[in-house]
Amino acid sequence: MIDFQTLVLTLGLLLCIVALTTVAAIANKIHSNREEDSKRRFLGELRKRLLLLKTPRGRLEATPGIVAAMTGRWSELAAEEISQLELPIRLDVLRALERAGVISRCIRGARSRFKWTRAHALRMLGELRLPQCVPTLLHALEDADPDVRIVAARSLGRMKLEAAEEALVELLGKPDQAVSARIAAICIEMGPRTVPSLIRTLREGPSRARFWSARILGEIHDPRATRSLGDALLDMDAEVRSAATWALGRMGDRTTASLAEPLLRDPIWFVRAHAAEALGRIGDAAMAPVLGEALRDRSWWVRKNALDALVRIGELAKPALLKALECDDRFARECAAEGLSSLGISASAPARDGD
Amino acid sequence: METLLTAPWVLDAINTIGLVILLYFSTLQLVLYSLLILSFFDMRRRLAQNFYADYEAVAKSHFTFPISVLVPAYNESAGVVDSVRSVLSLDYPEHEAIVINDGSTDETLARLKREFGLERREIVYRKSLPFRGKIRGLYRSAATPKLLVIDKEHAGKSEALNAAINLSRYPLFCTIDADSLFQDNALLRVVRPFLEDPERVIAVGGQVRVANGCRIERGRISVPRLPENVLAGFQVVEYLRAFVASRLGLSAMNNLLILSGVFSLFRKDVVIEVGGYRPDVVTEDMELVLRLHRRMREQRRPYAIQFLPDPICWTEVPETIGALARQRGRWHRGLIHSLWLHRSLLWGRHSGSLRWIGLPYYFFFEFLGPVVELLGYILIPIAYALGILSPVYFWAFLFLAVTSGAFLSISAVFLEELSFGLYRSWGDFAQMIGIGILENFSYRILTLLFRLGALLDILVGRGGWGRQERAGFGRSEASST
Repeated sequence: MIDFQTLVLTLGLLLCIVALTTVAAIANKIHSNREEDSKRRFLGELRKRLLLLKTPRGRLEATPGIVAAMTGRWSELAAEEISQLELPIRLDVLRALERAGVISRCIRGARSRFKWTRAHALRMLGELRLPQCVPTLLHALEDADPDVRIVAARSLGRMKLEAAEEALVELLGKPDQAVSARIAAICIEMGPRTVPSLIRTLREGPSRARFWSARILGEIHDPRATRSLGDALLDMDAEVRSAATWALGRMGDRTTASLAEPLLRDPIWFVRAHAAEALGRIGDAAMAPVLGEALRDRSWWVRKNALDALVRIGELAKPALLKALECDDRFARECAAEGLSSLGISASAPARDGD
Repeated sequence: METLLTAPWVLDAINTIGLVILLYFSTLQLVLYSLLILSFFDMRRRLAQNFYADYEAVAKSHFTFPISVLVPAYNESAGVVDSVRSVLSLDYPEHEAIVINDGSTDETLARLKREFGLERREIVYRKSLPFRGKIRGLYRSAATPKLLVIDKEHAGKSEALNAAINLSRYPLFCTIDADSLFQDNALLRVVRPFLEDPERVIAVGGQVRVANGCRIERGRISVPRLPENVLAGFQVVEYLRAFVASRLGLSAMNNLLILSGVFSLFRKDVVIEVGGYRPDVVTEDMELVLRLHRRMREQRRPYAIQFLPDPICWTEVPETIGALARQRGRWHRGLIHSLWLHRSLLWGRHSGSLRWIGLPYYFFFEFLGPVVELLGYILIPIAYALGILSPVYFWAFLFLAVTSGAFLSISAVFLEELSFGLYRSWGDFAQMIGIGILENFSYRILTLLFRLGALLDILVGRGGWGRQERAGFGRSEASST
């Protein structure tokens, strides 16, 4: 058995741990309150300094303080504030930071073996938006750690530099889903200037990159992409075909309806489903009869999307829906009744023998 | 009687049982401390991820997954409108709200119709999952196209959820109770694991906090505060301990067996594949998670079921002993039933780490916990009275039980402060620390009795959901503004 002394010692130790945890919780509460105050004070002082930058004399006075802020406890906050400055003033600050070695320290930090140091450095570089940092950020997109890759993508998104667009498009589909989604979001924000690179990737890239290019082109709505997206409807990869038809739907160009229509007979169900959705978005009433036929498709999602597409086409789809009301497929009849009721026409699916 | 109690074999038996209890207790503490440490590191990692990577920007992009939010409601007229408003106004690119009025006998459907201008519609749906209880009507609103209300005959929560899954449009679905409110960014945050690893992640749970006492404005928690009701106050710390200090640790090892039905996000195709919610279990959420684990492990498919501490959902907790007793009894009965249904995981060849970590944890510490604790409360005083246990050991044991319990609760409060610090006032903080110490003499014993009651119910064949009382959010709103 345990002797008395050991027992008292153990209990004493436990009591100490409880007391220490309580003290630590209280200390943390005090610390976080103080930290909030210190953050507020820091931001107040920094903003005052940044205002001084508007005059040459003030610039001399404020720069050392700003450089010090970029190396201190709240460096991320300082970087965010600097990123919001007007371009000429920001460039002056960046030059001062370069002279003080802050930028090169960040670039070194981006190669650190500690992941959060890398993440911190990449975040700072993203806020500073220096063109010479783009290779560092692009390199970090292939970092071994997924968190670091995400931070790099975020930073590139903050920069949106022309120098990055080609390299970004080249990276599409290579890293994981979250990074590709991030790159895609950046390309959409960059807008039409990414279209030539995306079209090239859609024609020549690997399948994942083709898929992402089609999705992005669908969001950018640039008519230059229509032809390439039309060609991509014949892609060997079903996911690319589906993304291309989805993209044509997003673009809503009526002349593309006849290109998307054959995909309603694609052997892969999700391609057919996206084709039905796209035809609804394009809204060409001439497609209503084929969409009415798609109400009898063997896949649920194709039928559901075809129904939504017919409702989206509206009044002009009424004959197709009325025809579907008469067909021998019970589900198609019910869909037609639902579609007609959505269009404000009361109808009920007639029952048939064998239903 | 005295002779019997002093018989050598009785003394030996008491001694042995006492030792087993001591061993059990020490192991439990060791496991809980380990989970706490794991939770601490996991929490730090996730907060750093949030700070540096800004996942919300990805979730807000065009490439996120759309989500169907399912809100089962049975006699929830008090809080259902606030809850639906909270869902509809969520900051998320594409989501729909599906409310299932599960044959309520109160004003639930009427209030929904009135508030949202619902109109009856014919909607075709695919019956991917079977469900009981006829659908009486489907309602949509022209003003809020994201809302669908299913009015069906009462058949229980599982059936209601299965019906809603059939009518949902999106590949992910999220369940939320009608007496709960989402934090603004809850969906943006809970979807993150699906964006990171869409192939592997099949379910994610968020953190549930106590809404009683908080200030609520337009379906949102505007000022988190501790409730004035003592019982609800105890539950604030209890929820913190359960979610922040233990589930996070189990999730880090992919051994989490419970995702709260109050707030969890699932991949629809996988849930349909395993057959949806099972209607004969009172804790359908736990049973579904166990079934998902089982299916994935049996088929050797890589998967992850995660818990995240930062998506937060606020829920109303019982404020009376009767309501708390019914709720805890139901949870414990459900836990035992679910574990029993999936007992083969304990010896199954493909169970992997579940066999060594997750299941033993729930089996020995959650299921058997009340029995061992009761034995301790009975046998240790007897042993002390008979002189088997010296006064020093007796008091030492009591001291150990109280201090280690207090340590875990205070650590959970500490972790909350360290990570979120939602309760801003010093008063609330001091109260939580006080509750962490006091609950060991009061609330813990109370919940022990409820869980023992549940065991007794199982032995005599009683069960069911029991009546639930809802005060509604309007009351806390009125009292706080």
